[in-house]
Amino acid sequence: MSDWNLSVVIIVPAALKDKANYLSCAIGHDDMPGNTFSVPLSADGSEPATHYGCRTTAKQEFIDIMTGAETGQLPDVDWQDYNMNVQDIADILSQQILDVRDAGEMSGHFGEVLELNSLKRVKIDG
Amino acid sequence: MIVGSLFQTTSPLAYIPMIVSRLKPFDPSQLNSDVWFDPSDASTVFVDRTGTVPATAGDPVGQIKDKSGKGNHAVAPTDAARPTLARMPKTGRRNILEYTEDFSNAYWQLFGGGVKEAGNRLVSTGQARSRTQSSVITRTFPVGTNANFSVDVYPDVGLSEIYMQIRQNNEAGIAGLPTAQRFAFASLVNTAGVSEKLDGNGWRLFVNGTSTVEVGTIRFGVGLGDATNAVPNGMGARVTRFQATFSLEATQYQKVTNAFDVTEAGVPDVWSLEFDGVDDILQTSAISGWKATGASFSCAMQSDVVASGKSSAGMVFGLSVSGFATYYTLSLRPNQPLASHAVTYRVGGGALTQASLNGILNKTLPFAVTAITDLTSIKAFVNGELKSQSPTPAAGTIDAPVIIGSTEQPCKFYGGLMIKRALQETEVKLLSKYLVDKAGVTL
Repeated sequence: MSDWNLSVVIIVPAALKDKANYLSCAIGHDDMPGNTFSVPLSADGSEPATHYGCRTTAKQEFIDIMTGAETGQLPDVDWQDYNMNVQDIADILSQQILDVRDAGEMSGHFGEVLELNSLKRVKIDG
Repeated sequence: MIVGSLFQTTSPLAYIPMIVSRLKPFDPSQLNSDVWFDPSDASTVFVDRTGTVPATAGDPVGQIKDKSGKGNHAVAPTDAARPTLARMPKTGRRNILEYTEDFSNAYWQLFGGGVKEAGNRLVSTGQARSRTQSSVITRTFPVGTNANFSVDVYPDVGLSEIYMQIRQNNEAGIAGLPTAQRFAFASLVNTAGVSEKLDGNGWRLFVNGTSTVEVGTIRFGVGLGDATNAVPNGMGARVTRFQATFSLEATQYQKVTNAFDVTEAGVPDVWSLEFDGVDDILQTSAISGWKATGASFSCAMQSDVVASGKSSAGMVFGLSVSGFATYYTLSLRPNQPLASHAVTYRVGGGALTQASLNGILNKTLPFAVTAITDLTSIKAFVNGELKSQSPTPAAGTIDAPVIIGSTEQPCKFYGGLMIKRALQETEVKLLSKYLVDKAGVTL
């Protein structure tokens, strides 16, 4: 049985997008420079984006890492290799929007979190 | 001799290879495709993006291997972009519950006493009404909704009765449905439900009903004792194989391991990649030489489209290159601003040509879409039938990766191929039939 039983939405302010992508790379979920936070967002759906988001399927251990980091228990990573320092991580954790649900709620999860936080996706014409 | 030479060249044995060939089921490998993705082939789906950890139902898929033999594997650009591997019975999902054989899961909650023990056991703590119920299942029950509930119960020696609980929440019942149906094991007395003896000391219990008020949520579970009579401390029952369906008639049990893994004994599995419509996507490296000899793709999908008023990266399958000028080169994508799909074609920053499928696709069922460009037109086939076509300008070469998934709307992908030539219509029919069968649809 799969233990990937969580759906996770994370949204960060645009100013922290690069650092948040580096963090994703540092914990092994992306490759530098990273594009985990790939969905541009703003209050009315127009540019410029004020936030960037992602939705992912995760195991409980991912949430445990996030929770541990909030209490200062960071993974054993050489953060400088990822253009980061401990304060960057603290900034991301304190300003991110994190929403965790059962994996079965994947469909519609992202949209509901946007609505709860008065954000819309910025559409790219094409 | 004429007769003799006929015997020499038309021996009945000579026909056997031809007959066998005609009876052989269609195999996509006959098409010599350049890309072939098949989520039902467990040897091709992997959790990690490097393609080393095999995926099972419910897992994210970081890489799907190309079965064409050309090495055009599709990889998620990040871990967050991985779609989910799903398995459903070919006849569709009926059981709306989850974790139906995992009573330890938090989905099953305790109300009014009782404890959960290993082995799917509900055990009394000596309180009246020790019971379990599922988490809230948010499903609208309009007036007149038929529902059937069932569960396997293996009572401890001495346990005389058990209750099936059907409620909106902890207390309120649903008018028309039995709120707490009592089953007495000794006499098998029950007024609204039925029971079926299982091997050992077990019973499968059923109740059904028709709601007479509209409710938006339900809970279903089992209870020990009633409001005034407690079951002795430590006594209980093993409870498993919970099922709730929208029909009065009881149907065969479906095991729901999680939302992405549902199976039914005797029913073939249908496998798909489920994309979240946010950031899930799989893509190959750039593949060269598509345009020189024409190109085709065919895939089995299920996808709704939301009219957003703008075109954007809503493509669900096809060739694409980064950059606006050549974005949709040959693809199935939303026909914006309509809430429908289109097969589209664009080369080198030229005009976008699309063969619209507006009003053609049934978005609630999987479908096979085939797109063919033969240097003069683009043709769109649905389930093997030509539905739409448009002239296209002849132009240069496309060097583009294949993309699966959409960042616009959730979609399910059951399999697909891309071929560097224009398929014949007989090939389209055979391939479409093969692909939608993978999605549980018989043409």
